Amino acid sequence: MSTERTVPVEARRFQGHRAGVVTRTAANVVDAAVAVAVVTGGYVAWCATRFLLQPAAFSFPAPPFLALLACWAGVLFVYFTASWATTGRTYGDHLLALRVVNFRGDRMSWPGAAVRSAFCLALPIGLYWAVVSATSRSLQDSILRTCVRYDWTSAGTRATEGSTHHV
Amino acid sequence: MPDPAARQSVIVVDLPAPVASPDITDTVADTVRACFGLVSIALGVALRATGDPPATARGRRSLMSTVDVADLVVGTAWGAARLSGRLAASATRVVVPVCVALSRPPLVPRRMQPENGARAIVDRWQRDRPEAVRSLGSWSATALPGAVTAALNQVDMERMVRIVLDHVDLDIVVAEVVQQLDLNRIVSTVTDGVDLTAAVERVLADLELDQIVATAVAGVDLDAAVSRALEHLDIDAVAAQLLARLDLTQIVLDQVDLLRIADYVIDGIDLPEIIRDSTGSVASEAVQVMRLQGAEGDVAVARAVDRLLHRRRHRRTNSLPEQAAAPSDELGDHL
Repeated sequence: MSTERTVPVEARRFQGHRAGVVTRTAANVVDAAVAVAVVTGGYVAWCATRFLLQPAAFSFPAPPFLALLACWAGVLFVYFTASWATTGRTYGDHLLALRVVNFRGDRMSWPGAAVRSAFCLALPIGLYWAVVSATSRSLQDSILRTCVRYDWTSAGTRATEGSTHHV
Repeated sequence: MPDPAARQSVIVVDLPAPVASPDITDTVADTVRACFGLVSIALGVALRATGDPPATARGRRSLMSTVDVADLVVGTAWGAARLSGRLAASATRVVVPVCVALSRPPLVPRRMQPENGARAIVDRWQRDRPEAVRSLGSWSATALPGAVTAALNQVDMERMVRIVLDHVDLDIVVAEVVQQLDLNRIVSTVTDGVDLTAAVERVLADLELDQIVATAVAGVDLDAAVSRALEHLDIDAVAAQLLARLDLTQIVLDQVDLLRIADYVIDGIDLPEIIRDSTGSVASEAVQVMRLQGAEGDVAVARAVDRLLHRRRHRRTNSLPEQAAAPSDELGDHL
């Protein structure tokens, strides 16, 4: 059974095409929320630990905003890198049926995923280069020769992944 | 394979072993009885050939029929023979001692006795008899076939066979023969000595099977035959027996391209939809709608921007090589 048949009929026209800015933004929002949830969870765990260690002198810590932002960015960096290097998709990508692949159409390597993750965090506005790009590529995609595309399959295969010439 | 002539001569030469010589009077009596028996049979055959005498105009038969006359003659001869036999037996009682005395006269040297001469004659004949019999065998081998052929030409064989068959109960004869035959041994001997496969192949090669089958089919009302057969046939039982012998699963696996059929069926149904409905996967209906709306939002934004930028060509968003080679690989063309 080909992978194409696991794609819903109405979605087959999108399968394999590069995703646009709407879905990618939505996916990033979800991923950002995931990171916020992780940081929040970490904060709660930190508070719980402190409460258990010093219940009498307990008070909610008030970390500086930049520290929280750094933590959030760190979580996102690890989260993006691990997701793109293992499954090719974050949870946001999964919800929006997106997959990140390298210039060969394969799953990204760990270094490649780390570089792309850092690039995305350093210049998130680069995503919106896809709005004006004639090939719907973000700035990161254009420089790193990666691709974010629609993929309704549960596990992207080489047969449905992009070619080396158009990513 | 021995020469037929030689075989025939062997039959003649291969005489039975000599038996004790019977008394001459008994031999003569037996010979006479045999001759009368032959005469009786011959007369019976001859009279049967002539048929019964016709009745007179008044419906009365003649005073003495031919059979009666023949029996009178033969009976007279039989009486004369019996009388002659008795006289000869009586005379033998007297003559034999005289002959014995004459064959061994007293005071005559043994070498010169008549018995010695008779014995010499007998011995010579016994020595020469095998050669004579062999000569007869050679002669019979050459002469008998022609004689038998000539004799058979004079015989109405079909009539004789009919007569024989009228007097023979073939059922009893065949049953007796079959009972005495060891059919298993005969069949095994035949099968051991014959290459049945080669024989059947030769027969099949010589037969015009197509013509035979065509002739048979032309002469048979197949519809009626099949109807009659079906009336007497328990099709359910036959089918059940047949199915019990078959491994249908293995046959299907060997003969059917299941993968091709599965592909054909899957092409005709929306399998992902079925899977989603049955398993309740993560990709629920709401997620599906969100994905599709996001994708269509991408297309709408891209189209609007392209319009603002006065792009003549749509975006090239296809990342699949086979579709990229197609004339229209822009996502906008599909929408």
